[in-house]
Amino acid sequence: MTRIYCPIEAELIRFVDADLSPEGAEHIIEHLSRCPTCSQQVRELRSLVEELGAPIGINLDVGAHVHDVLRSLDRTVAQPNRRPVIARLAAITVMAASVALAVRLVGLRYGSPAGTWQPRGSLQSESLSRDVGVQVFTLRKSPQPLRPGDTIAPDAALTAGFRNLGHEKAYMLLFAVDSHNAVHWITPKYTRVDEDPKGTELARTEAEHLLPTSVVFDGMASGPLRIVTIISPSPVRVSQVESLSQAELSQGSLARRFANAEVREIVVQVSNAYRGKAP
Amino acid sequence: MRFPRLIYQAPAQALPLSGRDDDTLMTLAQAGSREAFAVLVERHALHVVQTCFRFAGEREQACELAQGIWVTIWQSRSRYQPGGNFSIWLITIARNRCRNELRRQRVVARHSSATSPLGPEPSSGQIDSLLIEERRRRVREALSQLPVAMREALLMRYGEELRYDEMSKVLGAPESTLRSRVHHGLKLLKRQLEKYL
Repeated sequence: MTRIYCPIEAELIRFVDADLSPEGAEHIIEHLSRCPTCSQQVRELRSLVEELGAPIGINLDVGAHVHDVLRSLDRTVAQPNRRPVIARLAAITVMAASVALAVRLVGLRYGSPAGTWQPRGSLQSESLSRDVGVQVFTLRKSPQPLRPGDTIAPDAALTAGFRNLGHEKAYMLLFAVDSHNAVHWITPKYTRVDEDPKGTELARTEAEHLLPTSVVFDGMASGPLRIVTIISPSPVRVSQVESLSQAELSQGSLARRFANAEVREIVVQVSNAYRGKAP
Repeated sequence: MRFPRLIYQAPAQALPLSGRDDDTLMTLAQAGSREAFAVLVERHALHVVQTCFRFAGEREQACELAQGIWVTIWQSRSRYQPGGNFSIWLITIARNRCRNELRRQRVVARHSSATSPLGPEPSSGQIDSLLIEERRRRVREALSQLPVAMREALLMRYGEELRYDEMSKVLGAPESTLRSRVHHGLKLLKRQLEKYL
């Protein structure tokens, strides 16, 4: 049996970087045809290089940009010491960045969460409890359903899937309460304190659907994280939660306050040790 | 001696500005032509914004940075040597500007949704977009944690797709040093992102 001697990682990196001589590259190609381990290494490196060079999908109104630049030239001439103003996004914008304002529907193809949706008893009469299912996911290589007791990183990307088998629309508020009792919104989009969005509309749909974007929380405290879902038959606004005290944010209190709504909660752990490594 | 009588003077060939190369436009800009400069901006606007985005990780800030870069270019246009590579000169200024601004502000790349609102018929690839965006966010985040010199080398090599000799002009470091930064940077990033590649 012939033993395969693998090239060192630096050689594979130079190969992916197209920085080897033709002979060196040929040698690596020949090796890769026989070595699945190195092939995997090269695949990962190529994937990384592709990400680094991935085109950036920025919609730029070039005409407006040119206009702004020329106006800046005028301002510079008029006020030579003035620096261009740098727009700073408010922390709150970052906090809730990327939550979709409207839920547009999309088929969930990866790892069907069929077994993870909230149970519905077919013998029960029509109700939000029976008809509407919501599942929170973390995003890694594929959406991973978040279950009670799971541990996530403070910078985990979260999104949610849902379905509504009822005949009426439903509305969803989905937020997390961290160990410092800070409320972080998953949906609806809530990025400005002077706004008061209503719950995300859940249209009737027989298939599971995923919110089109994910959210990464800013300043998430480590420790237990309560993820609360309020599903209501009529719109409930963000302010109706934001105005509540710490005690009023408990599941029981929320259920009493929103008597017509379905209030659900799961508790997961947030760990700084998972930052950048795990969900 | 008498000069021949001028009977007919052919009109000068008026090549539109948009048909001129970067060097000519810069020469005209050096002579004060804002129209020529506007054509240059238009031609390279998206590229500059994208370059800034790779540094800043945030769209609005990338646009602001890009605007500042063009002002810098206008102000220092007299230093441009026609015959040089305008793109490299542009990237050099962009890189310096981004580096200085970000040093002042400490920008953290954040996840912002690059997905545009869905049309009436939702795309079945939306989940893929989410995952791709999440992977990119991880890459940007990991990149932002690398030493500045290493990050710049990776961005120039793969973001701007420069050769090592071009990178050397932009970054002012020997090619061998840049090779080492790129290769070492890839190694570090790969380790950090293994779960997402």
